[in-house]
Amino acid sequence: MRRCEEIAALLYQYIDRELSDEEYREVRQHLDECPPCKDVFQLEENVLTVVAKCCRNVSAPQNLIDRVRRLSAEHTE
Amino acid sequence: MTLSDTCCPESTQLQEIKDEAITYIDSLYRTAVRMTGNAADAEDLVQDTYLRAFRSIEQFTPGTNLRAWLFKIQTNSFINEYRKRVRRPRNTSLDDVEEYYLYNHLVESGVQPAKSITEDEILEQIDDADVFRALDELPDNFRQVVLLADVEGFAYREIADILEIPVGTVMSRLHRARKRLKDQLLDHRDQIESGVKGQNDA
Ligand SMILES: [Zn+2]
Repeated sequence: MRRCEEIAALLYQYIDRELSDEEYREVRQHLDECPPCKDVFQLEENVLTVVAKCCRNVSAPQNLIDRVRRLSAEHTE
Repeated sequence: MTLSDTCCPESTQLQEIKDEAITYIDSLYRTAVRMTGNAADAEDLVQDTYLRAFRSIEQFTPGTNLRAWLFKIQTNSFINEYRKRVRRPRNTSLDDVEEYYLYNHLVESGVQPAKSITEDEILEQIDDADVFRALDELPDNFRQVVLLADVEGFAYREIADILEIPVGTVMSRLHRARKRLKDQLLDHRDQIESGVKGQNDA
């Protein structure tokens, strides 16, 4: 099993799904067997999920959408 | 559909690309709001992005990532046109953020490695304004990678292409920005907790 420090170094690549299948499995396995690391990863993921949800609540105002639609029509020749 | 099915296949295809481009307006707008810091500048930036995109739509290669292409236009436009206008002072580095890995940081500072806190528990104690404030306090180039990765879900490679920086730089900026973000949000949470505790004690 990989050491905790090595796993911690892969934290963000794991969360971002940027690891190879092999590395992903290794991290997954470590987390299943090591509650402290699992807590660290979980906390990190939770914070980022909260940030993402909060930012995704914002949508474009209708008048902007209308203006962009008009631009799209103008530039069709 | 074959080419002979339609009188002007090229313009039909261009219109389809434009229609698809408009479906990404929420993504572009919410990013623009966080980058410019206000709704009026964000609307200008997004409108300008679409104007540039529609003018150069022939340069877009069908089948490649249209959303990433639009973000690249918007990012360039932000850097070249809008950043100059923004009033608030901006720094561009996080030099005071140490580049320890999370684990080392926790071990060295003697902090208990994270009691597990659920998403709901975080949400209970942090509102949208706290998150926006923490994001706004990041330097532009760090906030940008967080928005592209965490909010818009772009891959490292795509972010590197959008910002025209190496993948390694994307990763190190993300690392430092997220650490700062997390420290700020959880510090805030601790303050609320100790505040509540203080009230109970009194
Ligand atoms: Zn571990």
